[in-house]
Amino acid sequence: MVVPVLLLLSVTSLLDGAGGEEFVSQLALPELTTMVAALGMVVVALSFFRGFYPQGSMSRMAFGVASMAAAGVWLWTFAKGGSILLEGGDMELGIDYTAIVLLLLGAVALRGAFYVAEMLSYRKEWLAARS
Amino acid sequence: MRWGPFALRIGAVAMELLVAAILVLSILPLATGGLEINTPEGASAVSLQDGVLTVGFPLEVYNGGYFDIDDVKVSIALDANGTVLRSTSETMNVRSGMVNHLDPTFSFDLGDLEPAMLASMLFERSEMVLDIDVEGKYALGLVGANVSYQRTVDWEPLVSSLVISPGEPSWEENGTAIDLLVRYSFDASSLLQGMETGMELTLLG
Repeated sequence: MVVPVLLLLSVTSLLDGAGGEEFVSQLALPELTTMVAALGMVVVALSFFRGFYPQGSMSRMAFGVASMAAAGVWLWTFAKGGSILLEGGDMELGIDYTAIVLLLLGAVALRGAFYVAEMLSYRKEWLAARS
Repeated sequence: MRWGPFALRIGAVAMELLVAAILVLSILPLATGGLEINTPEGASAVSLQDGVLTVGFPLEVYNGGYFDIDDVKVSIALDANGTVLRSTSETMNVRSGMVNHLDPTFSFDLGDLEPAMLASMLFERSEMVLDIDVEGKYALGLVGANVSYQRTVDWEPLVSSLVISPGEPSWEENGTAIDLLVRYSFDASSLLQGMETGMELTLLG
């Protein structure tokens, strides 16, 4: 979660230094950095609580799924919904990478499903340990 | 080994690695100058036939990346006071690791124009908005890009400096008719050179 924020700060700094303030504004990089940092903290917090609970517990699964859902929102925000549009002078550049973002969201969904599968897989041991 | 969770985790990691590999292999070659576009000297061709203006821009494109650039389409639009001439090239593919010879051709049917606008384009100098739009897909079609370039260009008339010399007409009787000789001259765009010219006169009295 830290690396993307640092990456956004670096890109903002580089563009500002190279006279690309217009692109910083068009991409709303300062606001995006704030959003990515805030959502990243939510993901970290949910992942932290997930780690408190043992494998097989519903609480671990709930926090696991919730943390991956938050990670999905974080990813979608960081990727700006899969498309960007830059305008400069007479030129306009649009890039649509929605398919890439959807693939990554698929990976996040699999990670979410992992916590469900993990709960089902360890459920008997967890119930046995409680009794 | 708990195969269910293991398979899901491996699946997620595999998808992430796949995306990472695609990103690295697609961005790095292009960022390091792996795409070169050259225009062969004097290769562009402009012609006007049967009212259709045809413009060809042969290009040599070297794609040094690992992925083809697919479904490349170039659109050109000319906007003169709201009237638009638009043409789109055929879909082209830029293969990776080789020089691709592309020949996008654009045809504008001047017959689509209103007579007043056509006359204006034929005889008057004006300003037009030229809009060039290039779109294509990259990285196995996962990334699409669109570049638009718009600028105002001067439109040179196809016919200019039209001079009719009515002051010294010569005529001769031809049976019951009279043949009237009217001298005229004009500058013609290179597009029109070699073509036949006709003139229609109406005498009012």
